[in-house]
Amino acid sequence: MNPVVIMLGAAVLIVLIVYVIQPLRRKKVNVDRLIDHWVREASVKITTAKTNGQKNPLKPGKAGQVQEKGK
Amino acid sequence: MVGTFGGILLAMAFGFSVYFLAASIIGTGKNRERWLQSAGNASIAVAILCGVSLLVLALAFLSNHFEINYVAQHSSKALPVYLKISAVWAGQEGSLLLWCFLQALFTAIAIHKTSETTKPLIPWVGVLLSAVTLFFLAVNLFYSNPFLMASLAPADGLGLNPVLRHPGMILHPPILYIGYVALSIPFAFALSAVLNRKIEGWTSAMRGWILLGWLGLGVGLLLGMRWSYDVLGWGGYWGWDPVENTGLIPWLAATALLHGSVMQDEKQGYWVWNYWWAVLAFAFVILGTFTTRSGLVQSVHAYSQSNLGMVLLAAFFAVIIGSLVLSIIFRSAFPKRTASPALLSRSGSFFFTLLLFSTLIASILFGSLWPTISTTLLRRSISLDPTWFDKVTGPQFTALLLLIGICPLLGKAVRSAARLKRRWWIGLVGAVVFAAVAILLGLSSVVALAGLAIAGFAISLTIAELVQNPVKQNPEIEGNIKFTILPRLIHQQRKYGGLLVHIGVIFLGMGIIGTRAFAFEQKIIIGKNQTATSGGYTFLFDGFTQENFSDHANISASLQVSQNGRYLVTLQPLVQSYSGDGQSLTTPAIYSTARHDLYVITAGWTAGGETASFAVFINPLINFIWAGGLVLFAGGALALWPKKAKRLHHILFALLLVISLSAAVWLMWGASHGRVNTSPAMRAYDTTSFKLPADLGSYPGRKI
Repeated sequence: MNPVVIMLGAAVLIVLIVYVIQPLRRKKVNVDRLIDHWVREASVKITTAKTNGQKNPLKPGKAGQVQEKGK
Repeated sequence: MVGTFGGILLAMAFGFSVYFLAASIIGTGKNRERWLQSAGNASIAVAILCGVSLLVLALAFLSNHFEINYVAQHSSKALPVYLKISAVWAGQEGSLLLWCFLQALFTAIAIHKTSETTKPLIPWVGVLLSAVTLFFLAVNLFYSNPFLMASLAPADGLGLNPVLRHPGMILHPPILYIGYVALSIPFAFALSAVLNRKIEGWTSAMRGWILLGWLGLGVGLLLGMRWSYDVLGWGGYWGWDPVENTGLIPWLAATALLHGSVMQDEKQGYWVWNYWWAVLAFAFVILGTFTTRSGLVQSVHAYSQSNLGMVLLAAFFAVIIGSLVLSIIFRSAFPKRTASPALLSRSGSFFFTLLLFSTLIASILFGSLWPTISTTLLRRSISLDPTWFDKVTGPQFTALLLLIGICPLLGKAVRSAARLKRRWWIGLVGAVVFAAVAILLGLSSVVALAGLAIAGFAISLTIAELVQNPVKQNPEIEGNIKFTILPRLIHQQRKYGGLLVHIGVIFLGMGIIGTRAFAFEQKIIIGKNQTATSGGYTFLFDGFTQENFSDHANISASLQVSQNGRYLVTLQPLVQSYSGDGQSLTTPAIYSTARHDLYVITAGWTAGGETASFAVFINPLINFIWAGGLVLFAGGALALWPKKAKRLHHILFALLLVISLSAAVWLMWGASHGRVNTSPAMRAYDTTSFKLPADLGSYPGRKI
């Protein structure tokens, strides 16, 4: 079969597949905002830990305890 | 290459359709909005792929790709372009592809065009319509694929079946299929309404789809009747052929659904009726498809060598049994019955109308299936002839005409008796005038005169209702609308569209009564340059002329027609003799007047054309059938008129309507139909330069 037709068919197929599955994709992740979020979270953890007198602030304490306070 | 490309597109459409169904099930079952959106997008993808696939098939026809089996079987190099287009759906494979495209397109539109009422129903509608689309695509791809390649490509195709070489055939199948497919949408919404226990609003939301289905089937049937009258050369237009009947039955079911939905919208009940009318209309579409494609019936409509019978029969039973089971499991979804309607009330008249539609459908279905039932039960096939159908359905159709006259007079039970008292004389005058005119025209059968009197009763009351000022009937709407004609029509489009449709139906009824009760038929044998008299006309036979084409020869007789010594017209009935398969097609010559049609066909010839026999038919009032069809079409279009659309939509819709009506008028009365109006002295015949083929067999006689 003519390669042009094959390529054309493949292109149509790809476009349609992308169009169809597009609603299934999760929301776009903004990396900068994600890093900002992590840094802010870590800083809150450290501040809270220091306030509580913990020696190694980044070492997880009792499960959920630090995070609870951080919130 | 074109065939392979088309086949791949069809396979891709099937693949996306599988995904469409799966995504709809996941989205509906787990209530996931993202999956439902994805399913909606898949429906558009399926529609696009089916549409392109159909375009590829049309291109294959236009560019003579005879390496594709289907193209080779239904087309040839000599075929004119307009017939090559109609050849795309002339066979089973192409017509199923057209069906798939329309199904996918209507499904995508129904899913995406939502309102507040329909939104909660969409998930289940998606599941049901995706299943229907997948079914037809699977049938098209695996059982009846139009893109299968021939092992050795022939130099030329076999050509189109001669009986399908008519301009009406370009439009008849697509319009009929629009009707068939549109009826799948109310079916899906009815089931979804029950599944969601929201039974109230679906009929109102589905009005456009029901009307589209009803209109498509109605116009398709009318075009088929005209084609039969113009092409088949048997003097009639409806032979109660099983295939014709299975097209009529869904139309009757859709008409019943339209009437039932009016009652449901007015909160008068009829929930169960409407559920079953929606189911049956769609189920009868499948049954009709089964009849044409099972190979069980011999008919001009039937596709020979079809392997789809069992698949379609299984689908029919799946629809009926599935809907029955659903209505039992979810029976609490149907509200409790309201009080029985009063006899002399709007609701009461609708009840009788629906009852009549039920008995009509049952009668026609029984008559159509009796040969199959008798073969199974009695071991011999007993077919019921058209006279049986006329006798059984005639009184029922007449009762419907009577109801058409009475219904508009009825409102709430209290007011109905008063309105009847006030207007009954209008109906009586109409009945007397119609009967008197019929007697003056020489019509004498008592039964037929009674039928025409009922038509007169119904039409006078309907026209009285049409010209009645709506403000007078409903004083509360005064001041809200300026009642000039067009705004009045658009504001109450449903009512006026319905009344126009009723007038169209009455015209149809008059035409049917005229042609069934007063038709005249005679066979005449005339020698060259001799005369014969039949039905009050004198015929002078001038001889035959022949025109040769690449695949056929046209042999036309020339008959000078005069009445009371006055020359009227020259009729040239045609015999088309095809060289390929030796098939002959007799095309009538028609001289049309308001009173009747003079319809002549060449029945045979002997002695090299020195003597010829002709069948002469006089079909009284037949033009009322075609005129009634046009009025019916205009009424349906008015009811479908986009109420809230912008001006551009109005203009486009009006333009489409005017073009369609003009084309229909031209097809019925504008085309020559074998008439030549020039004076006999001006015409010269070449009667020596041709040789007639072997003598035609004798005329088999009229079917009705």
